[in-house]
Amino acid sequence: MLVVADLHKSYGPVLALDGVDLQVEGGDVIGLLGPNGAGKTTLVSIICGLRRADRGTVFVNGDDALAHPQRARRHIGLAPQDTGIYPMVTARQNLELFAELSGMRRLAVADQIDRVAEALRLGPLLDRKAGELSGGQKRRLHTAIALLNSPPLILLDEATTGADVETRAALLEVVRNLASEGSAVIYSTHYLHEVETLGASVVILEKGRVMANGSVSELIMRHGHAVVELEFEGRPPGGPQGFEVTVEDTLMRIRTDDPARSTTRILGALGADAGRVISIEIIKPSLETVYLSLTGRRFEAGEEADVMAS
Amino acid sequence: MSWRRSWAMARHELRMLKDDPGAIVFLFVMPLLMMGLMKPLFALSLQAEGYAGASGAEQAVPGMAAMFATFTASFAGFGFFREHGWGTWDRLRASAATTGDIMAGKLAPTLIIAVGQIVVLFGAGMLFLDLRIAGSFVALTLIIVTFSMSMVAFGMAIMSLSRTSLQLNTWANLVGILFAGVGGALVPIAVLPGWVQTIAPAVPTYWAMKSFHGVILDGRGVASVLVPIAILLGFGVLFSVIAGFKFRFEETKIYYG
Repeated sequence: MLVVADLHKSYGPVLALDGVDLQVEGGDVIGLLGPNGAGKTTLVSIICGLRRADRGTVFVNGDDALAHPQRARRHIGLAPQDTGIYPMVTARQNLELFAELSGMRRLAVADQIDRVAEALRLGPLLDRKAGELSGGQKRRLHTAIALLNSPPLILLDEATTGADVETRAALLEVVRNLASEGSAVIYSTHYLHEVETLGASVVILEKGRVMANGSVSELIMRHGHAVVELEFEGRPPGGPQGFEVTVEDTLMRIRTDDPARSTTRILGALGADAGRVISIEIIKPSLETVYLSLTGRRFEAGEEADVMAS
Repeated sequence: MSWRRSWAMARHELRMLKDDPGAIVFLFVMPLLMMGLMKPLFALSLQAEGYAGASGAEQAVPGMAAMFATFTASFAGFGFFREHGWGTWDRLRASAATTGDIMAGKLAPTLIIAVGQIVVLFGAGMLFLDLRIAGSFVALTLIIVTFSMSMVAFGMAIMSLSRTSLQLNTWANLVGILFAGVGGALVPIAVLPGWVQTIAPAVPTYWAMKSFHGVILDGRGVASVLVPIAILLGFGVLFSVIAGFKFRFEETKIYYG
């Protein structure tokens, strides 16, 4: 469905994508993760032809998206990071416009609108002006536009940012259903637990490179050891012998397979410095420890805004 | 290019206009008021030029129509800036519609409004202000259409050169009023200073007003407006080339408002 190979993109001296390779099949859900400036939005923008690549190839459903972006776009539904709807017309009229721009016949438009409205719980809101909807409702309408015409590749760039609980639940359910119907979904998100909940495969981007790519369970197996994180008053002391230790500011992180027992040993080994420990947190093996292991820092919700999104 | 997609875009633009008719009121009602106010003044001016039976509507109607047509330029440009403000520009670009589909769908309603505005003002002039057209209605129609096209192209050029909606507003109004003033829409060309009369042919409004006068006051026909029409089309091409050269589909414009 989507094949990205050796994709490069720079903005002046800033390297946004540095040889990205990615392959997505129909039915896959890919959670795209990475810190500020990792290149997520740039990658999404190039796939749907909003930005030009410096080098590399992108094929969408067999169409060369760099040489013939117009052709490739027929296979793509995009919900960009920033909400994009027409506030002066109704939700239905927003959907009608984009349905017709996708090439759908007018007779089929009403059915498609009913389908996406039901999926995203927009039914009772269809005849209200989009500008009068709440933030979460606008977000659902924004996402619904991407789903019209059942595109085989759906790109959702931070779809749940700022969304309420109902919206978030509806969006996650829609993503699951789309994948089960055979669409490939690339889902960039702030929230690691959403990726875990979706059972999505994960692509971690860091400085324009793919750091890791695989299912959540595979990545946890490979990189996801438990971590004991100690916060010190002042600079942490030298780490206890026999452990893999990393230090970041006032934090000491110790990788272990048995955090409960290790914590007692670690505190004992710290001696007098144990008195300077402010807090202890055990981070169980999860996508978060995978991220920590690969990037050396914890994933924080809200650090997603890509440098080129502005 | 797909006519179906362009039509969908055009219908959407017209729908938004219907729901927010403020700009239309400005483009139609304001010139009507101005025409009524200026008519007596222009009657004196035209009579002094030798048109003994002139009512003043012969200058007031085409003059105000031509001046307010220049404001459709900023109207055309705002249509694009709004998309950036609403975050819909990238959505349009990421849709299956081509650049041509989007441009045609967005510009066609503006052209309809520009033509419709002049037609309505001429109609109102004939009904209420004693405007009499001595010459060819075909010639009049040709001038109205080509002048409107040149103004929409002017709007595209100004939009392409502007980064912010404030720049668009400033330049479109400034240059629009300059076109109207120098071109003889605000004041008959005969009473303008000599140096202004010398540079007047450099603006499209001059050619529209010259043709309007020829048809309305001197009873001229199609043959007399062929050269002005060619020149107005030339202006349209020039503005379109500027727009084509400067317009970047991927550029992010800044919309205030």
